[in-house]
Amino acid sequence: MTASLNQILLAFWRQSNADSSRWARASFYGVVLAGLGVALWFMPVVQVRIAIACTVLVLASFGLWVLLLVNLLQQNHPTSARLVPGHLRRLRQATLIAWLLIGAAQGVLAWWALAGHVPLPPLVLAAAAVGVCAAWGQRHWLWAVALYMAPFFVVPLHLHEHLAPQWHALVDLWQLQPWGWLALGLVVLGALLVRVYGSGDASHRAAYEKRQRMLKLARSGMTGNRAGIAALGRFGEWFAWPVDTLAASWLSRLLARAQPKQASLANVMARAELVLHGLQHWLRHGASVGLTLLCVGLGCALAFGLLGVASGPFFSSATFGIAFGLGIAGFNPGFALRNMLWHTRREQALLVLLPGMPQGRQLNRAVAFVQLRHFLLAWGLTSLLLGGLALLTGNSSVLSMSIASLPLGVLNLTRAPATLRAPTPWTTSRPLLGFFLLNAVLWGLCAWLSGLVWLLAGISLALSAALLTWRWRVLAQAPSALPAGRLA
Amino acid sequence: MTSTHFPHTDTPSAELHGLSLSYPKGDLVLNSLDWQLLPGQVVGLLGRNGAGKTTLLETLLGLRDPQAGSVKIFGQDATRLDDAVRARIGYVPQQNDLFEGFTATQLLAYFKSFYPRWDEARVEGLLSRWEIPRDRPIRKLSGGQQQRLSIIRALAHEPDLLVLDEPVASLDPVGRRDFLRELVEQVLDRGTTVVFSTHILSDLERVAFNLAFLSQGRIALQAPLDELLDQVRAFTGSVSEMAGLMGRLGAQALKRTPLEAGRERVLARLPANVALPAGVAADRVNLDDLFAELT
Amino acid sequence: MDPTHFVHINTGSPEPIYRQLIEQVRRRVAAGQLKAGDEIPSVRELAQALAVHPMTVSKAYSLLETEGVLERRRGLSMVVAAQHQRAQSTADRVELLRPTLEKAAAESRQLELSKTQALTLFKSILDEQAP
Repeated sequence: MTASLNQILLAFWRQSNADSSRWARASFYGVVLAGLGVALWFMPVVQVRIAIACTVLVLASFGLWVLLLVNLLQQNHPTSARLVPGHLRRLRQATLIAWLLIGAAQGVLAWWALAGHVPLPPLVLAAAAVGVCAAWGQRHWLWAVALYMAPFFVVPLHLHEHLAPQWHALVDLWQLQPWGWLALGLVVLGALLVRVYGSGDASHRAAYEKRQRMLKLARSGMTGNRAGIAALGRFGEWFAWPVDTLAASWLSRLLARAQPKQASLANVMARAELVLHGLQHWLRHGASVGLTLLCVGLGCALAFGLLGVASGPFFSSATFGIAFGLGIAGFNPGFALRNMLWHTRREQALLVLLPGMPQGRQLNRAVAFVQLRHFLLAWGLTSLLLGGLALLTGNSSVLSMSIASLPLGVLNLTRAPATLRAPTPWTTSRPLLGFFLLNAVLWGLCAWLSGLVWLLAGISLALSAALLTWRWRVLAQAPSALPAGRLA
Repeated sequence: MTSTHFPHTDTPSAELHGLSLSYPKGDLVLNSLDWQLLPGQVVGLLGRNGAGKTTLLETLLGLRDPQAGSVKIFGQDATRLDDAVRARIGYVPQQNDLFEGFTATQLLAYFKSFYPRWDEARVEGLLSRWEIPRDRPIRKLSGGQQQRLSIIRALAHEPDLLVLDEPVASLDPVGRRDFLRELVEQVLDRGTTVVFSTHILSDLERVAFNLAFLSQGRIALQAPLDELLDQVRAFTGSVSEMAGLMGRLGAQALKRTPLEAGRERVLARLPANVALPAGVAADRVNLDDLFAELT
Repeated sequence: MDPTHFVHINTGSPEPIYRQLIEQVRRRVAAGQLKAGDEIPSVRELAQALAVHPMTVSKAYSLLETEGVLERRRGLSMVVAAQHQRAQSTADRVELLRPTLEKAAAESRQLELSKTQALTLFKSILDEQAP
């Protein structure tokens, strides 16, 4: 029996070793250990040290629980549930054992962190309940939302005041028999927990397939192949309708202007761009960002105009968030377009066989040109918006995002696509992490010395221009750009 | 053998010389490969899984860069084809779910905008006959519909060289028969050179006149199927008997398989019009046997 | 005549398709299913109906024509030949042997055999292979 339980529980560990990269996992553990290190070395008061260390461990164990759950749900395949003897039963046993162990550990850690002010049984019950919510959150995302958003609603809605009498009554009832109540609670929660697994009937099958589809989308999204909202189902399609219609009319316009016998390079590359960049095409990018800004703008206008929320303090406090959001949306092409060349490499096999498509050196330059054009236009518009934000709030360190992204984007988009390697979630997020780090440093510098912004802007522009001229020349020597990734 | 349907010219449609290619990880896939496709030929490319058929077809079209050797299509280097030659090539790749955001109509209009020749009537006919929904995104079509659409896309611009990589893997028997009929029509009307790889040997037997066997990174044998079935026999006997027999018959040994006790089985191709002497045990072979022995 | 059911092809057999075609046409003529003057499907029709390479059909038809089973008419589709035409083709059949005999003659000259020696060998082979 232990053998099969071992297999079931260790599967998540073995599979994650194969799935994610060594560096990603190493950095994750590094962060956890760093957090512990900070707690144990730098905090003067012993109790605070213990509190921080225990909190870090509780959060890490929660993450572990979620990862384990994802894997266990994967193992709950409808066919295995039906046909493999005892599979479902073992799965349930494994889940209960892991849940009890992790819940107990979390309860003990929390009790230690709170220095015994709160007794142990309710903490264990709370940890167990959160564990069950997380499990149900995997099956139905509404539960996950409820779990993660709930703490944010208690204080603003003053629930703790309205429900105070009922709360005191519950506490009194609990005091009568804490361990008994704990046991009862665990039994009830355990029964709820095992219902997460399906037993192989039609509804289980449908739910499993849907889940697999979502996971696949998420995984490919992590490597930059964002499937777009339209792939999420009928609701997504309805939502994406305006952008899709725009894209379709642009396509027909391009095709109407095309002349097979005398194709101009611009027209050919415009048609190729539709396929090369797929869902990251400039029209879709611009339209979706534009639509989002419009909605947010309308919301803000409503808030300021009708609800009387003060605009000045709002912008000042939310500066970082707004700048961050704008930056992510606007500077994305600098990082994503290169990955899209990988994802559309099979379509490129057909593209290079089309008459009129450039080849060799001309192709290298043409591909780099369309990508840089998209990125630089997006960069320009976003920088304008960020500049407006800087003027509005008087905080010029907002522009550090523009400064950081320009040379990075130029460098990224002028590398030879022929030697592109398959992107993994780690290699996709690495440049982004670098960008955030650089951004943080520059933001700090600008906040410290306000005049520095202009100096840094000048450096960034000069650096980008130099990079561009250098890489442009190198591109001429590189192997033919498409199909991408064939020489990796 | 010439006829009015097949004007035989000497300029090959495609020529590969000394082609060597290894994967980036180091495995040598194509090993000094030589191959020639003459106009009007219909060649079936046979090889085991992983033998490199797809790689060979991609290299043929200039989609992969070989480490050594040359590839020429209609006399031009395959990596630098000009517009006129590219307009004469049709390619059906192995994966069908390409351009998944486009609808069938959009996809065909997209490709039409690049090609000088486009047979709209034929496209319409095939779309209707094969019942492909025109305004649904390609990712929502079934595998068979996607594959059929891919075939229509490749045939629409009337190519002179058609390269097909497992074009019927997702089709049911009726669909396959339909597709072969389309190929036959292409061959009849235009004398198109066709090269396709497939595992469905019954299809190959019908429509391929020539077969090319890919083995150990080379084209081990290319010959008309009729001749192979007529001339290839399997002989069993001791090693010395076989050597003597091959000499006497002037036969070309294609494959030797050692059996127990100094005996062997030899697959040999007899010269044309040579009769087997009496008393020699020889088995006839079919395409399955040829595949198993020669790839 | 419906080309799809004119002949039946077996794939996976050691017999090439053109031979199967020839066999089946011969048998049908011998059995009287195909009479002299009956039209047979054109190369194009048959190739498309059976999804077979046109050259295979063409080869089969040519061989049948040489045998005298089929007859080509200018501008029209082929028909089954009449009985006397099949008999007349003996002269043609003899001519078919010419290339092989020419090869044999060249070889015997190379081996410096005399005419008598070569002819004796040929006679003994014919006797030995007589059914």
